[in-house]
Amino acid sequence: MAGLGLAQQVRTDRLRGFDTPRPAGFAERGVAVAFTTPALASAHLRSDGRGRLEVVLPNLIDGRGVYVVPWPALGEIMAPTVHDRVLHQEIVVAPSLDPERLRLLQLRVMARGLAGADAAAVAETALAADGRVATAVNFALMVQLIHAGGVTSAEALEAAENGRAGAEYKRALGSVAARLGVGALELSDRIASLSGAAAAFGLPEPGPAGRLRRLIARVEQTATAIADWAEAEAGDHGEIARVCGQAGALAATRADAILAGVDHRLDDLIPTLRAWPADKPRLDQARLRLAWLLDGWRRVIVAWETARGMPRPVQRAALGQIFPALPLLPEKADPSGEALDVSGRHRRLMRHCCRLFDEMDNPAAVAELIRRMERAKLDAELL
Amino acid sequence: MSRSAQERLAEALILAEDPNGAGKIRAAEIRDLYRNAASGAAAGARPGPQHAAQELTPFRLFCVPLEDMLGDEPLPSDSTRISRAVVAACWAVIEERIAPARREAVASELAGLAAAETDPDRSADRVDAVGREWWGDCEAALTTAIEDTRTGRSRALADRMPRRLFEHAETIAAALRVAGPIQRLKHLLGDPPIARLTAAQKEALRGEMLSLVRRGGADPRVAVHVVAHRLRNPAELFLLTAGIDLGQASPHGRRLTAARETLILSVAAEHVAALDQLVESRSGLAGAVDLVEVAAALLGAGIRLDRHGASTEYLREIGRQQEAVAARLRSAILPALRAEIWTAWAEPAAVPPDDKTVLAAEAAARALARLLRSAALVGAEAVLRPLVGTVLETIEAALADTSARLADEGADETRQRDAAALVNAVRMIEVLAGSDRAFAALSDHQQLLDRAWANCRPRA
Repeated sequence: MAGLGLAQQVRTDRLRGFDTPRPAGFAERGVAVAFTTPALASAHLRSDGRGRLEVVLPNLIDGRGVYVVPWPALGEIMAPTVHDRVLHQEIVVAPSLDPERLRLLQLRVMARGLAGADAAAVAETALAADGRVATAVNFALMVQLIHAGGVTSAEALEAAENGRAGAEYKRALGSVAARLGVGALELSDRIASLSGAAAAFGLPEPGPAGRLRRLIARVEQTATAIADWAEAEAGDHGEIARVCGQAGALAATRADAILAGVDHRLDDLIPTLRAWPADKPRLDQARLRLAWLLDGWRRVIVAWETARGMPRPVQRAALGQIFPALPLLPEKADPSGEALDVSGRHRRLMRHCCRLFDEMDNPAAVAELIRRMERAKLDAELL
Repeated sequence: MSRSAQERLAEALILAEDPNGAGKIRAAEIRDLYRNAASGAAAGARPGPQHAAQELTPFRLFCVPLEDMLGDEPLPSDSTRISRAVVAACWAVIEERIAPARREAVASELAGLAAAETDPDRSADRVDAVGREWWGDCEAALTTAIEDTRTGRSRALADRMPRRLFEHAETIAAALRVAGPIQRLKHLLGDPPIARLTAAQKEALRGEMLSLVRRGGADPRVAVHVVAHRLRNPAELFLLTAGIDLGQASPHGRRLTAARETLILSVAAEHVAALDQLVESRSGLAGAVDLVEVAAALLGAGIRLDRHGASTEYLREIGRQQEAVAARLRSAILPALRAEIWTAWAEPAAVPPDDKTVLAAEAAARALARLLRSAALVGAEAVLRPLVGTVLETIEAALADTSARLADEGADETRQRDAAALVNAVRMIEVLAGSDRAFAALSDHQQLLDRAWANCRPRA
């Protein structure tokens, strides 16, 4: 496996996975893990269906399909970093493997300092930020309910001036609670619980944007930026950039559709609260679907942002990093087949251009490369 | 509910009533209300490189294939670079021999190019297209002047000043003859400074050389000599081309091949001089480490030319330069790196080092790890390995102390601080001795760490 800095030769043909245009589903695609081992920069992790984990790596030798390496066998072909080994330990005991759970596990490992003291601070910040968004969503939903409870802004301003605003708000919320057939405390609990479940999405402007909403916006921006870059680029890299841009646009469009459904529910707050918490699994499912759709795009965004403003050869190298692990829509997530053309072109370009992607040929720089990947993890959390 | 919270809610209600309304400004205020640090610091925009729209003139276009070779006076006596005074003198004789109308036509074409093209890459291609014929014209004019000088018909290139004018004029003419291949090689190499060649670049260069030989008519050795000035390690390029059959050598090609030793030694001397400047300034430590790597790689590649007819004096001088780099490593760079590491690890501190100090020590350890390879190339391994060994011993002792503290039940805050210190020690071991050894160290203390981390967020 070229470019992996192999410790020893291995029969790579035993590790070859099937060569299909795209994975059948997200589970087959695997979760994009922010490993810090350079050889795992484009890796996905998935379950083998028998409770064990396997690493999926793009084939950079001839561009056909992927390599599938059972995690225990990884040590025979590379030396994963301590961070990655600990992360694996955490993942193995987790009840399931999905992008949301992985995010928390990654933050936990980061918070312990295993990706650097600076990353530990960022992990703490990211987690605190999740809590702050939940609080902000709570606040925004309360405002909606107070308004629904019949208090206008003029009344509220007057009441605030006279020190009676608290009472007015209580009255308004009380009237909403009565409509829902619950007590005031129960209503408060439901709002808090709903806010916690909705925090990852946040609310549309001018409300507080959650991390998934922000990520969709960043995916759109990055897809547009790469597509614009492609306009001025001839040859293979131009084609590669166009495919990246289109894949990003497709992912963002699908994500927007899921988000629109969530926003509709949050906008129509009274029925949503009436059905809460029985309806919580639906919101959680939407969050998970969105997380799967957006999985892997942080790596793309960070790689492109790092190259932004740099000379074009650096940007071409960034594309070379992005392309092999480009998050393609799996078959089951694309029943209309809209993304099939992008997948087909990706496959053709991987075969035709794989020589462009294998850049890791400086063994002396591995320690610096690991540090760069740790910094990229940090940047990904700050998106 | 506090008064301020009530007021904030009241303001937010305005938006709930009229979300599109009297108030884009209001909406912005409300947005600020909701805004929180969760949005984090988005990756900030980085200013792009300044592609100055430098106006190309016929003179500047003439210089384009030679630009890597140009140097500012005073040049060392053995320098392979060409001074701007020499270039100006050559241009003067070219100007005399090319019709003004031709010069004006080129000037006009270049002006149109600057106005039309903003993309630097496309601009480079268009420059090459315009330059192809122009370089041919310049070469013909200069070659005629050289011939006239040889036969005594002209004295323009026979002056003693600038130094080596005639010799350099011949080199410039030879370079103009292969201007197309020079430009292709420059595009393959990318923008300078180029520290090392990637595998992909080497393959592309090899292909270009072979293609040049097949096409015939031009001596690739001239192109190689010119673009070698673009590299911080020209020996790497010479080694690459030494293994290729470049066909029959022209007289000028032979002369420039013989000059490769001079070029390598002069670049090595430049690196050592730059190293001296960097080590004087503490903030130049990272740059000094990079430069040691480059210098060591240059000297390591340079010595391998012994299989390709390198002279004894050259090899002796390479040895002297290796010792010069090793001396700087021993006297300045390694002590500075050690000092960075000791700031975080030398003594058990009452107040643990802050993150910045810890990260600086890690960076210094990574530099030590990188220098292990370079040290072998300049014969300084005997100094570096013991230092790495001493650092590892110190880290492992600190790890044992921290582990002992963790084993004593203490306050949560103290335990988490000690857990962080233990992890920092593991990271240092990973950088200096590899992840297997580091993971073993971590595993030995797993139970202690798990207890300390039990109260850490997040709970997945």
